[in-house]
Amino acid sequence: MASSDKYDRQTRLWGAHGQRALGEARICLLNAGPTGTESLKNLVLPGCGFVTVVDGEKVTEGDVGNNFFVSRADIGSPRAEVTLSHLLEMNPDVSGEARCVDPSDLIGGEPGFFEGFSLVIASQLQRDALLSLSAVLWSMNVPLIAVRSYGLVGSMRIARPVHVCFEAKEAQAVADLRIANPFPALQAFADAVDLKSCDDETHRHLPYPVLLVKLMGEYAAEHGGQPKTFAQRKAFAKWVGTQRRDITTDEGVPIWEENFDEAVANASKASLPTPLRPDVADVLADAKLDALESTDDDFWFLARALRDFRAAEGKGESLPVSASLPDMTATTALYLRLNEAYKLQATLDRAAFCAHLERAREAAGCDEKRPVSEGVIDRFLASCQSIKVMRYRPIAMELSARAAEDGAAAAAADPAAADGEAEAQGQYTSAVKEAVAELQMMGETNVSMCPALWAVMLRAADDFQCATGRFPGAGASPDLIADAAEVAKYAAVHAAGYGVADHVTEEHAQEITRYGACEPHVVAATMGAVVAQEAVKLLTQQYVPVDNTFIFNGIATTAAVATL
Amino acid sequence: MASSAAAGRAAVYHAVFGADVMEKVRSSKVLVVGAGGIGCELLKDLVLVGFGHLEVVDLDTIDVSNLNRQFLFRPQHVGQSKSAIAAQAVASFNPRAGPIVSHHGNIIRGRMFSADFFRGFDLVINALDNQAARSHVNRMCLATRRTLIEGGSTGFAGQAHTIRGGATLCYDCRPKPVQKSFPVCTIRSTPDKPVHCIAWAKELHALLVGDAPNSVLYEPDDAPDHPPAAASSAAAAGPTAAPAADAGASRGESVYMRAVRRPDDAVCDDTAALAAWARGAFDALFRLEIEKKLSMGDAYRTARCRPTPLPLSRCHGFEAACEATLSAPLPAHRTPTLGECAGSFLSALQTFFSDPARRQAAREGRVAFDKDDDLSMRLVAAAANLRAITFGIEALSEFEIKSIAGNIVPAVATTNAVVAGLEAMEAVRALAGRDPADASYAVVLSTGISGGRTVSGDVVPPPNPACSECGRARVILRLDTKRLTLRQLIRGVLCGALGFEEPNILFAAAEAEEGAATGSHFSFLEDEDDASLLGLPLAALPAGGVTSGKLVTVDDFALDGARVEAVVVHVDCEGGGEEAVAAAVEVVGDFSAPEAARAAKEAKAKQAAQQAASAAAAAAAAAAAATAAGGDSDSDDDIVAEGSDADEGSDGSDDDDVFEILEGAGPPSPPSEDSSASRKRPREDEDDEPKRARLGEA
Repeated sequence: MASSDKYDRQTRLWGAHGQRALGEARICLLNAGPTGTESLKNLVLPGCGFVTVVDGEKVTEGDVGNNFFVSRADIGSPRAEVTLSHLLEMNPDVSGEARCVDPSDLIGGEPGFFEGFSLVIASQLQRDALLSLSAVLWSMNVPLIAVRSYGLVGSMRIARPVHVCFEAKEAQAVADLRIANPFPALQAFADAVDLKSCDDETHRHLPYPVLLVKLMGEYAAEHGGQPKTFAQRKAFAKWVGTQRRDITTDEGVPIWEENFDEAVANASKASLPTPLRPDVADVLADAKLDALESTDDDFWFLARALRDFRAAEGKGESLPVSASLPDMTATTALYLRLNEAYKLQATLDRAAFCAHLERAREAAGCDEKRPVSEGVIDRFLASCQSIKVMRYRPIAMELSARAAEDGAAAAAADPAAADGEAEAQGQYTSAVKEAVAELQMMGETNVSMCPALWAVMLRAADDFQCATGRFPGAGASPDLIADAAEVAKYAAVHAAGYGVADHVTEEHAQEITRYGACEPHVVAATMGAVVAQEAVKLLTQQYVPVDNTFIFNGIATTAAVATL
Repeated sequence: MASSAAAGRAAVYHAVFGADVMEKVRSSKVLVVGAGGIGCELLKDLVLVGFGHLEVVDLDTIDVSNLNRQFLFRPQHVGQSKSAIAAQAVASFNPRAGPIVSHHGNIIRGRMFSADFFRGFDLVINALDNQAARSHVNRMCLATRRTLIEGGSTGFAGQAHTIRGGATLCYDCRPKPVQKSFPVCTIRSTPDKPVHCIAWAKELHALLVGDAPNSVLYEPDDAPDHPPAAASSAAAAGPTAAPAADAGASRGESVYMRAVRRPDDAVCDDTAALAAWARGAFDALFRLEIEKKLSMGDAYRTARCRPTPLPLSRCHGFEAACEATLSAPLPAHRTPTLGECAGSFLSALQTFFSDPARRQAAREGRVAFDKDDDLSMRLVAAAANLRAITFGIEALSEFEIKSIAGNIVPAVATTNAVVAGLEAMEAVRALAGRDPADASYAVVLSTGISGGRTVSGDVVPPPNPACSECGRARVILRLDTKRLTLRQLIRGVLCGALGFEEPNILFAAAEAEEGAATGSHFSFLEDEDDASLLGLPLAALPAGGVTSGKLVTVDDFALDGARVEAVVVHVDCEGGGEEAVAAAVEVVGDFSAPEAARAAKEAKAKQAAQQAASAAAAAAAAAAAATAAGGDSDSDDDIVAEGSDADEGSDGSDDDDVFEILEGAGPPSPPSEDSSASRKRPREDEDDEPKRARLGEA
């Protein structure tokens, strides 16, 4: 008998709520070539909601050899329709539409078309069209993934003003047990215990948080406060260890108190506030929290409530208590009793948190009839130590970066003008230089295969295309040597800008020219997979998407992420 | 029939790889092992690159849960052969691709997948999902000197790399994490984690509806002091430690056995009686049994979690839940309440036994736990949670329990697609004649963890000299372990094909069999040991016998230094007499006992000579040797020969070193640490070799 859920294996990664987000997503693909269709295939299979394929071409003989989603019988038919129907065949849960129009016409003529998409994937889009598109999407806060396969090189760029991660899942959360600052139910539990008079069975089964609260109280009474300095905390931990009892079985065999082992292990940090992870601290310090608008994502209201909770109920150092307790030595009864105490506090904290949430929403004028769902609140509280905000660099900023002595690149169209936001002229980031330095630090003497350098080469190829109207090495009987020389000139400018002039060579230019802008399926398949992966992260708001460019070097099968 | 479409594609690939490489791609024979998540992607990628002769093997049929990523399959294909449908689908998309030959069979046990079968290919690519099959294909490729491209994925992580015996590491050069198992007493008496309760629930499933005598929970009425010898413990399939420590506690505790005896037809067909039986089973398992154990005093002295007996009356709302779950299952993603667990447990049992077909299968012990069987899964989930609640352990949702109970590896289309793409790329490069040591070891980490790396490449590390697969003299014996006798093995195979004179056979006892009676090994020398064993089939020998996958070491007192490790692989040999069984034995790999003995002798002499020489001029000689050895690595064949023969002589003296390296290597992890660990040992002069080679290419 078969499992009834075809998404079973993947929901184990992103949960039922992640699957729901995916199922509600509306995705737009521009250009249904191999890279584009492979990207979409990997989103249709796991069950995204709706796809729109935009492509102005008719299927040609060349497509049949290089694109899995067209067949010989389709030659001459609109490529958008053909690929859409083959893609939808793979998963009846997904629906979609085809727009048989050149993407550039749509971007220029009908920018409103892009409103309402959860994600736009632009494949093999030329520079000027990409710049216009990214400006349009930026103003709508619609995420953009721009992807290209270029010979054996691939690149993927993500752009979006702000992306919030509900569950970054980067590190194991540290449980904040509130030992230094016990809530009433925990304090009451500790107060009810008398370590001197209780029987041996109880003594060796008291859960360590109770032991620590108890002993911390005694220490503070004796020393006029909780242990704060390193020496004090160390001394406290040592003292906790001395509070063990010598217990033996009836036969005289000594019994070691394991709960005290756990107490000692956790003692020295017990009086310190649980540190906020830097990403969470950044979210709570975000200026956005003081300027909320009713149209903002729930995330911001939840984050604001978290900040307010921490300042008020959390006394400036605690987040809401979690209802789930880590594993520890205890009898069932004692463990359950302790767990009840934490559950009770978690309920109280949640209520306080929700009150903050309501106040924040009210202040911003949110619609009372459309509250944040209980499930979202629960998930937010469960993963509030794993939230993160990302702000991407606009593509226009990247492409407007020029070196002062820039000669060759001036021939290219002025990209800054295409950006509606009229970004100031961008700077070259240090990412390429850092990627090279990292390789060198790892003992690499020849860094020519460093993936980030190939991002520089793709830029040079684009400069060439902007200047000549064709890509280097492409077109009928190109002069490969002349093209490569020209590409090398463009590359030298950017290489200087990125601070890697010594590492970009003529061989790089020859290699990129050799490709003639071809889109081999094997690179397209790999890039399409990477794109879909990032799309899932953007759509589910789980995990951390690439910031901001992924470069694949198929010559050496390496890849890198760089902020360009 | 070169169409312009083919020409279009050809132009693309000719541009990036060159015409001669593309001709090799077109004419080479490639075997793809596995037509699952990675396999489907890979076949598509290979066809579109232009591979002209593909064959694919898979033993599986298509399941609904495959449809979210194995994109060549459609709902109407559920139940059909994966390899056949995949081959058909790829071919239908690309009629010019030429027919793809599909084989529906087990690559390990299928008789046709012999050494000659492997030799028929220029390249083998793995698209598998389990260690056993990977190890086997790895071994076959080492023995037949085929280049293997290995790839795999788990959730968001994956990897792809090329393996060529002697030049690169092999699949088994890195120790694999062992599947975890639990002591039986933890399962039976002292659970403290949800996984222990799930293991118990799977054993309970066997006891109630499956192969009861092989459940750890089974206690024969007449002999309560003899709990079953051992059992595989559930989440952790695999033998566990002998439950000797538990024997005392188990005395007289079979209070539940009577209550869980399977109901007869009269009860099964009477709804009320069946419901009463189910309640009786519940009461025995979760109340009586616990009370009994608690009354025995000492049972829980050492337990972290003491149980509380659970009467059905405490499970609020169980009647309603039982009624409801008879028609619809509980929501899979929510942790159920106590009442829901109890209700679901009762209704699952009633459903099982009110269905005549299931009832019959259960009586015959034919119902094995299957995570994809909804009813089995419900029974196990409910029982695991009830057990957990009894012991004060956290209850889980059915979804979470299924993960653990079914050993489910998360899988997603995207990672598979990355891995397949990289494998296809490696395939082209392998045919392009690229030095395999220069190929890439790509690790895919697509979650954004580890500083946002998505694909990171490294050089394929050199072989681990301590590797038990590629570092030693090895043969594979493909034979019918259930029919071939020890005598036939010794006379026909060892003395015949391999050239031994007085072979001494040694193999480790199966873990479950290990004990005072059998010891940890079985060893047999014809003139000294019990001759009556000679007539037994291999599988029936003491200490668990020689079963598929068993490593058998053979050496020979008459031929000093002739020692071989044989991996026995069971192959069904149906029909035919004794002679047919003997004739069907296949020896894979080159090994000759007399030659090995000769080589060992020479190596020893050489070593002695070297020692004498180095003693004369220690420092100077060392420096000279380092430069001289540099020329060695040019010929791959030389290295292979060296690996298999010369290692033989130094075997014994190397052992300490070997284990140190194994420990250092650790489980799969990013390549940088790993490669440094496995590079610890190679000759100093080779240390920089891989790096130089890779950068030379570009």
